[in-house]
Amino acid sequence: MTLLSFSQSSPVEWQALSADDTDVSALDANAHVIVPFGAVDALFSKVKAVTTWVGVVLEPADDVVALETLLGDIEIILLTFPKFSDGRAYSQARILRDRFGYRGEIRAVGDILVDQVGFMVRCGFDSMVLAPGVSDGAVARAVERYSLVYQSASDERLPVHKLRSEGQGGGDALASLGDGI
Amino acid sequence: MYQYDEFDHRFVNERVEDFRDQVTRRLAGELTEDQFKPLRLMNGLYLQLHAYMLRVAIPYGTLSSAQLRMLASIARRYDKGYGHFTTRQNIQYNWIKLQDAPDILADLASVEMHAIQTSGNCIRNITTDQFAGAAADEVKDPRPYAELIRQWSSLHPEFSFLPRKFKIAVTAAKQDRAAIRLHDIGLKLVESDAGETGFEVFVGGGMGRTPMIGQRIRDFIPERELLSYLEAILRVYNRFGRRDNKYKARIKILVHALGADEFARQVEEEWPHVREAGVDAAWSDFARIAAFFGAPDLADETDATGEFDRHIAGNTDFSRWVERNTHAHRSPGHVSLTISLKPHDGIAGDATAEQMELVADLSDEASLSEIRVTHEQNLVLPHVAKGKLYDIWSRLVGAGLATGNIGLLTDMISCPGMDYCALATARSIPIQQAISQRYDDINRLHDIGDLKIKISGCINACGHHHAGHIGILGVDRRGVENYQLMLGGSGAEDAALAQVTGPGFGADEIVDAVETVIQTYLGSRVDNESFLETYRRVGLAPFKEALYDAA
Amino acid sequence: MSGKFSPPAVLTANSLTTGDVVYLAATGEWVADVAASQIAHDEPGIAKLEALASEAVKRGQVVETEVIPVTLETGSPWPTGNRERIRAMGPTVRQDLGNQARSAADTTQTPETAGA
Repeated sequence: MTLLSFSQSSPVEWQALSADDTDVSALDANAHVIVPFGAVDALFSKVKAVTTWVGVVLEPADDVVALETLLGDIEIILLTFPKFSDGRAYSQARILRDRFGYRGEIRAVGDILVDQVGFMVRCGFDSMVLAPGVSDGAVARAVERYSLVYQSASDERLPVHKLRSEGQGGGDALASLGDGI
Repeated sequence: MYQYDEFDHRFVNERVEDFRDQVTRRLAGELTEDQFKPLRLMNGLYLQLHAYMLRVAIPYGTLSSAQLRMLASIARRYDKGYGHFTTRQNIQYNWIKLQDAPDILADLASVEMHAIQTSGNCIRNITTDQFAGAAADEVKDPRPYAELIRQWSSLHPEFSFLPRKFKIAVTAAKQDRAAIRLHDIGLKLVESDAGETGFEVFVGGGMGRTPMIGQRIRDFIPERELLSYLEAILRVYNRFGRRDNKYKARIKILVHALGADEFARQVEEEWPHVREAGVDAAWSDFARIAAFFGAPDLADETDATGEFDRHIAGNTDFSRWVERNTHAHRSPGHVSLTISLKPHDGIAGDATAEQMELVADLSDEASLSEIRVTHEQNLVLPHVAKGKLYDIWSRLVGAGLATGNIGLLTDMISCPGMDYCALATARSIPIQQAISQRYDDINRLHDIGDLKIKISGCINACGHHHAGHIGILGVDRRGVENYQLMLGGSGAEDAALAQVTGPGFGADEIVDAVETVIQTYLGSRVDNESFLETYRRVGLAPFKEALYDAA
Repeated sequence: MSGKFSPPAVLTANSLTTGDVVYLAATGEWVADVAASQIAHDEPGIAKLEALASEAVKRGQVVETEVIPVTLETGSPWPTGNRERIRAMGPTVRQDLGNQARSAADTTQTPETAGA
């Protein structure tokens, strides 16, 4: 597995608990622990009492809105792509970023095509776990492919309509984007 | 019409290079077919029965003469000299080679066209009224809104992997020529009492295996908040639409399961959050877009129609063609002219490179270099002075394009069916041709009057059979083509789904069955009732009886 | 795929580069003429065609491989299903296109029309 990261997040090994792991006595203050969404009620506060490094993993059907009150205490949220064609996690990420202003890390896990990485970054993901064997070149191409975007999303990129309305007529604005295409 | 600025050019050029890189990697063996297939589909490149098929987007069905000439050139250079105009106002090429696809996309980009989002589970080409910007019964030109939506939806990062494909149609006329209630989202442009422009919003229409009529979830959404409202609908759909069964994944199934009221409530709940995120800032670009669609500068030609009137009086073929193939224009002395792609014995929607070039020439001479593609698979010259019609007609006759059958029985919609399509279960074109041959008497066609026959070669309903006054669905019954007949559908403002008559008919029986339906109509009609009016008055029963009891 | 139908059967696919309909010939080449196909007469034969199919896909020669049932009534293989007959010939509404156009010049082709 290859971790691709677009933020300051350190590629630490997070330890995934299952819903049955009710005994947290083996954890210490340096433990990095992921709690499944379904076990948040039972486990989250218990684990949080031991370590500050707590994350949550969601499946696409899990209601991300239910995490609202906990978000300040969650270091990382893992959003799952069971198949690359299942796009629910894009909406989960946007709700976390735009609606709740979540500042922690959002990581994509599961079946991910390298060509989707650009979409993920735009929806607020910071990192992705890619299948082994994806070349750096392919990743770079996927991320840098489009110098322009047409709509605002959860990233900082200025959509084309904004470049236009700021009077950055054609050439100058394009030159200032300068990614050498 | 809309013209690309440097941003738009750069975007499509990057797309071309992106795909060129992907094709190169595939041919070099760096990508497997499993990895490559979703990438080629994102560029409208399908593998059909005989070859690759490329579907090119024609945004809201509007083309310039230069674009149509390029489509002709592609047909000649990379295909077999023709193209097929579709019910999504797009064009498809049936004989494409993989290694040529990047060059074709580059040619398209040079005339401000592309194949982006013509396939895949994303927001597809935005469709509209083919007479937009010209029709006498229109509130306002809907195309600037369609262009606004097109740009917003281009490679939308959140909505490129929806549960299923997503189709949006916009209309601004009294008569619905865009079938908005048979789309995932149908938008009807309206003006409020305060004079503000906005949209009535319908969701959950569609055809396919489970046809449904779209339901209104909002009476009025102000134009400047349209995008955030669309984004809220799409987000609810993306989160909660079914993904376990592709036949139940369209938004219509979600709307039906929740009920339109509950669906609307969820959208209204999501909407303020989306609005706050700022997507409506794109409205700042609207005035710039709308300026490209200014009302055409047409002289009053009312007094220049003397010769036209003489030809009308002296030439029945011409006068009938004018009667059927022209539509009221808002500018005096002008019409919108529909060029039928349904000649007798022809293939619905097919046009040769030479035919496309002739239409492009005619548009330069007589229609401000503009052409439209209709969802009924015809071409339109939107702004034609009546005084030029006779010359146009004479030249169309020579090219086999002067069939005066618009809205008549032989103006059929037909999908490509099993002659081309990998999904089809039966052929549709031969049925369309057989019906066309049976009804080759123009007097009889005029007597039968307005009638829409729509033919699909499988339940996916690309031929819109559910919306046909007479719908025909081809299926495979134990290795034999069989055709179900249905009656009473409409895709217009009086949208309705066609009702199945009963057991299906063999390929050699279906034309007789259509004739039985026509006879029953002619025997039951009162005054000048259309087929649909008669059907709605008498119901399915007399047709059923004639079709099955007599036999 | 085995078990869905009885032999005889042949292996068809589309060429990766051109998309053309092709059949695996006895020579091991991919050819346009279904009549020249390598024939599987029994279940092991079908299994062998399937193995050859996945090898050809891996080599990147062809895509969408499928073992299809044929009849040998005319002496050479001819698909039994409508869809495959149309693939073998070309569109029934455009006899100037597809493999049938090729076979017009090739007199060895069985002149049988496709479809029901």
